[in-house]
Amino acid sequence: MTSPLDLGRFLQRRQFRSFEQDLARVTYAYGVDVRRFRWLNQSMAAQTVMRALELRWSAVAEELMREELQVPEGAATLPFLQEIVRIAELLRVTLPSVRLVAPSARGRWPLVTPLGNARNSDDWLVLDAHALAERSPPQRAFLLAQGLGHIQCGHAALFMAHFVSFHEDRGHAGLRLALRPFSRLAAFSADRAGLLASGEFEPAAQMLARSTEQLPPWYPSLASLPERRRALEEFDRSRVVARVRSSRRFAEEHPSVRALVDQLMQHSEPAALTDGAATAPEITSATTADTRAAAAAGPQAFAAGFEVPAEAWPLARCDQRLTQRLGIF
Amino acid sequence: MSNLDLATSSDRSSTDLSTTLRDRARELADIASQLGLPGLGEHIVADTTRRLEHAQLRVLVIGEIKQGKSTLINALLGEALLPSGVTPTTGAVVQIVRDRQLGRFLVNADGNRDELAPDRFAKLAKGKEEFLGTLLVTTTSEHLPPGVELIDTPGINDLERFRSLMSRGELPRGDAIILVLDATQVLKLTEVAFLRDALVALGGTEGTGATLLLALNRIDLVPDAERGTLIDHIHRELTAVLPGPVEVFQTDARGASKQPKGDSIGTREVHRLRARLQTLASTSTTVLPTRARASLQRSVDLLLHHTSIEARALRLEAATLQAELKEVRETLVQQRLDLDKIERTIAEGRAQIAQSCHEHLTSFRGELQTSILAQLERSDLRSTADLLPGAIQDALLHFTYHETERLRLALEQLSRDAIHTCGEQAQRRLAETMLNLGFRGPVVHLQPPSVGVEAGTLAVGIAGTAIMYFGNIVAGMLVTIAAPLATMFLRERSIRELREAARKTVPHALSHSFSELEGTLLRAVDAHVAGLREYIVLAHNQLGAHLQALLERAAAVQAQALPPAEPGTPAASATAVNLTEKPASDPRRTALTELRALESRLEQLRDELAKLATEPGLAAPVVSAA
Repeated sequence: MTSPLDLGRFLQRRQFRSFEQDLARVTYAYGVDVRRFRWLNQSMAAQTVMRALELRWSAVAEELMREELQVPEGAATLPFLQEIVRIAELLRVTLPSVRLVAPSARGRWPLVTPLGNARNSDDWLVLDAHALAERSPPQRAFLLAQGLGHIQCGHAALFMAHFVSFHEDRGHAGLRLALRPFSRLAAFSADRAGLLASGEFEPAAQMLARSTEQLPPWYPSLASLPERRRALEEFDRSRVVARVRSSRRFAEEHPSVRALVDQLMQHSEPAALTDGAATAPEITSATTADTRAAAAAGPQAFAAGFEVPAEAWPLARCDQRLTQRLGIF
Repeated sequence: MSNLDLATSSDRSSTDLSTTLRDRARELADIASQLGLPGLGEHIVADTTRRLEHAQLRVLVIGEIKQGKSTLINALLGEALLPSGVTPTTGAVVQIVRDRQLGRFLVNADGNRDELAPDRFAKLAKGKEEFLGTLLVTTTSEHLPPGVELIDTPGINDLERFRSLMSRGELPRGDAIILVLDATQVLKLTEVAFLRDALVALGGTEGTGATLLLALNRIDLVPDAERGTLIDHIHRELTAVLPGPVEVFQTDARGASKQPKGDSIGTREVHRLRARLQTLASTSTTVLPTRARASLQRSVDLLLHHTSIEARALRLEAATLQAELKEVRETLVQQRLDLDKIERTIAEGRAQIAQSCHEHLTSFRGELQTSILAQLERSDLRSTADLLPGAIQDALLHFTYHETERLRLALEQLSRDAIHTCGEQAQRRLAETMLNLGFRGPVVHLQPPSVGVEAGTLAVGIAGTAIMYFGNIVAGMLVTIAAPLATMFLRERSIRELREAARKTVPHALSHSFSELEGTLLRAVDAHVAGLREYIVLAHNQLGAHLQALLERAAAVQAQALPPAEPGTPAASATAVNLTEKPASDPRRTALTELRALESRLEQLRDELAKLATEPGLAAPVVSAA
């Protein structure tokens, strides 16, 4: 017997989550891009423009779902979804909706694209699952974490604005120019999130280079590859990454009790869904044939028990010193 | 490259493929043994050996009772080898092969042949006496190609169920099937259902090397003018079951037996069927590796079903496991398997589950719609536009989670009703469904308010400031103060518009998303039902024995765990010492770990087998019924 539906309770939880996310962004003092994007998404002046684009976005999204994108369905998508859940847990970011590039539209989209509105109420991670499947697990982890990082920092609206203005052929060049200061700053935090999830520099650098190639014409003009690579190299030498690597090595050499139990049992009962929460608990409990097959097919991006320290992600964000050193502004 | 080189290369590839397939068969047999099913392993190896080493193509002649199967075989061979008559005759599976002399034998389990007198053979073939082993007939007929063995079977709807079991149990081992239909009453429901089972057992006809031929027997009883309509009817009826065209032979077995050189269409078609068998035999060297591969894939599927059953059994409480074991023994092993009853149970169960799922979804949809409309009146602009769609999604996922849990229990109950135990399949399928649904995003989209509020406030504020600087300060201040008032007015208007739009869009959006949700859940239910039917078809007459072996193995593992003892007793202290050395749950955990390893290996084998067909040079050509 289920209890009667109390929609107000779900609404309150959403409010609370939204408040928590805003608070987290504000308290991360180093997050220059977070502060800038908060202004872009929430200030009255910027909202006037962004809202106008967002109103068009609903229609564009419907068209995309008819022609180019599709919702995840069937067992084939499960390995990707599970990988996203793992990375989201690792980086402590919220789960977006996922859209897959339809076979007819392959090659017209980057491997991973964040899209969404300025209010972060409906974020999409658009995946070219076919092309992603050809990448190695660390490369894939970099790309997926990069996309999740963009969404977590509130960059999804930037991509949406570029996409809609190009698609509708309305002032794309002007908007691109106006948003250039935001675009130039948007890549660094996401690249760092990618490196944290990938764990290794080489695959991250390869995918960094790949993510700047064959971009669609609407794509925002992010910082140049040498700048991004320099920032990533710098981050790679930081204490944060050293700690992550050390934690990873330790996890590989000394599996956690939980990992051992998982290994022994290879099964966990689905935890009850907490009211109104995202679907992470039951998602993680899903043990599917395809996931096991994917696990058997190649090495995992990270060992069981490996985790990114709680403060690594905020510290990894683009800070004032980085922007000064790189002369971004 | 010379022709000789090409031939050598082709031979080497063929040998490599055979070696690989034989290795995989041995590995599967090993896995079956580890699951406590050595008999199944022996069958897998024997079938692979027959196909690859002995190059024997197995052609099953199957149909309902009194359709003229034995008569058709006699007509094809050109001699009356098998007993045929007015009353149902064939009561046992009879294997017919080409040899240097005519003979009738009983082949024992150890492979020894006992020659039978014609009368004794007829008695056994009619099922009038029970026996162990298989019946074998050797013939010198030139019409039977040396690489082909014909299998005569009892009627699939034989009232004595064991005959039916024997006939259907042969399906997974066949390479080609001649389904004999009565031209005067073609494609009854039971025949279509049987055809479905046959295709499941063979792995389909696309890319598996399996061949399906329809013999429309007693065509002489159908007027010439109606034959075309009859054939059209068959093709139309089979469209849903068979993806491609099907070969139909309009035979008259009795007429062909009496007048082998007659010129009636029925006799000509018997000759054409005979020629088709010759063609099949000529391609057997290329078809059989493909068949071996497809058969191994079906064995992998069967073993995966078994591992799923055993994995759940290992997690059961001892008392529950014993109760299920007792039920399987009493119902499926000691009593005869009633597959028709099981199929009916599954069909009824599926209908009930679909009905209750529909009712739950309809009820929740109404509840959700009422709540959304009520919430629209209470929420402010931001809550409505930004948070309400997400909250609706959360509420829907919350409900869906509970619904999938309910479906899981219902599907497991359905499996228990059918086979008296169940596996982990329902749990896995529904977890997959939930995972996909969790990433779909909000089901209801509410348009954000127009830019009027922000633009209006901004414009009035700028205008007020400009007037203050360049004109009258009082007027400027008044205009600046008017900005919040304008905002208030515009906000009220925006929320009214938003509510109005939401009232219009929500019912349609909910209707669309709930129909999609119902479709998704029903697909998971249907996948489970199809999996259950596949399991029953593949295990078939061995189902009870297999389930009993699996549950017994799980019970044996449980028995290894140390029993609890009263505290303070010597036994308890001994137990405590033992526990420190080896925890009580260790055997179960070890067994589960081993089982997961077997499962992973089976999945790898499935992938490897699937890839074997795609590798150039190694792939056997695809032969289908078309």
